[in-house]
Amino acid sequence: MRYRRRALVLLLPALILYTVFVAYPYINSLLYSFTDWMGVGPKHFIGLGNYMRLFTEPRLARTFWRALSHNALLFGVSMLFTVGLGLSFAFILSSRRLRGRGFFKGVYFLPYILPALSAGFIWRYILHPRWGALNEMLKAVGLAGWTHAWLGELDTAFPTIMAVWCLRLTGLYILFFMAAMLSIPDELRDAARVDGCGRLKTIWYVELPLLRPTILLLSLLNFINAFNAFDMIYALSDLSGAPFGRSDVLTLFFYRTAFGSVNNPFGEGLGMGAAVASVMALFLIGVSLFFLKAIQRAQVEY
Amino acid sequence: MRPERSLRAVSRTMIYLLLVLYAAITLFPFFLSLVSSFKDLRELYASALALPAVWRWENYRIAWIQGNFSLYFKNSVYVTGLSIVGVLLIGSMASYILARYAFPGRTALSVYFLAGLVIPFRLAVLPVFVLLRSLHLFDTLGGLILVYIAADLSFAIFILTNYFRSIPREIEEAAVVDGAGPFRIYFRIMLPLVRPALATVGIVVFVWVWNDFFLPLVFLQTSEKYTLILGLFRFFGRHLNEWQYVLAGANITLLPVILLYLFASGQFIEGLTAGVRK
Repeated sequence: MRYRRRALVLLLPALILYTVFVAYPYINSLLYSFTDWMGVGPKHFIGLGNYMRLFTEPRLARTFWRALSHNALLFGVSMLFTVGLGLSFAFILSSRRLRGRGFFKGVYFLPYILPALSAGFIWRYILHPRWGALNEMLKAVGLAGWTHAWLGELDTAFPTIMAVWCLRLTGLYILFFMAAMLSIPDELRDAARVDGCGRLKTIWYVELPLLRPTILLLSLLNFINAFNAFDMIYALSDLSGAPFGRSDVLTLFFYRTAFGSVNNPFGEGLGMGAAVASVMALFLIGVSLFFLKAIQRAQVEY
Repeated sequence: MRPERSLRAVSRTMIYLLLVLYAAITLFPFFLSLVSSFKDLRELYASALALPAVWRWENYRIAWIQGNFSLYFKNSVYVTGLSIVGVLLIGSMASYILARYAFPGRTALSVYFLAGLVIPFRLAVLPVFVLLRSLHLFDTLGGLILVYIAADLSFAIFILTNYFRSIPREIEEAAVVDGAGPFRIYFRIMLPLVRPALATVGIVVFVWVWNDFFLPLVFLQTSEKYTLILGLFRFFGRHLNEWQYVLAGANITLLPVILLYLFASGQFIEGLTAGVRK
């Protein structure tokens, strides 16, 4: 097309902004991680020093691995619930004779679009040990023994957070699976019916295998989401992952390391923070590539 | 009725019950938050499930004033609005070129932009923090807006490039024959044609920016600059256990999103299921 050179000017603002505020910082973050910089003052190159400290100094290493294990647990549990519930509800909702589909879709999706921090505070109120609605409902149906200080007890805190987390995400998965099911041609379902398959058999033998790429893609999304968790966890616990780090996750650990917290007002400095960020980024990129490969392999043509 | 049909009726009823039950579970927290925000402390302590005797609208007035929400609301509207306009303008200009002009390195450049979809932006936040500080943009709404625009460009370019490609070339070719330059073609012809995609991207950026807690927490310091979510967070810290005010504040942050959702739920769903890669 003509006017080629002059037209490229339209590309410049995006290129500059993205390079300055996104691409360059990613690289810079990696560079910081090889220094002992505190954010102000002198900056010394210390090679892999931060990484060595992160993985060998017990205080840091223990917190890091504990936070990582919580992220991993969050990922696993959310896979079970969001993908399990998401698939089942999507199958129900995509039944052709169902009425009120639009309404249900709209309602289920709602929690996902609302601010996680505000929703977190609302849940905090519902889960309050003394005044919360959940304990009151349990007492009302004669299950007073089941009441807990849900977010305060060592054993219930993180499972409760994970439940709230799953409730927030399930709607997204329902809609995502529904969209994927719509793209499966009706002829395939009809053919299965002609061959004598019932509804459940059709789902199991025809639709589920065709949904594999979608399930893999959503697993990747679930993974990125779970390792990115911050707002909700912060609202339901606090910066330290209360109680006693039982709900600590990597982004909280990253924030404390870089910017400090009550117990450690100056943190470990930007260099150490950047090292944590780099480890997380490498981990995320590695797993993402693995998933993307699997998705490519699972791709089907109708 | 034949037994087979009544069996089907039963299973249909069960399915509707299940759907309604899950809808109730989904809506319950927000419904409870709405009702509870009108109570006084005594009523909150007496029962979480009872309705308030009097609907105390003053809870909202008190939260609004004590939480300084009118200022934070304005800040949030400003930040969200300018971020959306910036992402749409800058993103669509770039997408138009990437979709339409063949130039060396185009594929590499597309990949470069899309890479931002995979790695969470949070992990690049420290160098951005340092950069904003040296540009004297730390603790300014302008700096925050620039970061939001840059961070959401990947998504905008991903959606808009695809959309530009779906528009038939004949439309522009006629304009080129008429002697129109690329800027005129972009602003006068192409931009109006991609309006549906712009709406989708705009809504996604709205949700991301309006709801965001992390970046304001990192990049804003003085309380006059807070966005609504950060303001709510500080407000919560000052009013522990005065749940009627905290819930009123939380509801204030939800309201604009819910209102917009009622009008454009289709676009919310379309946009955010396309944007899940983030």
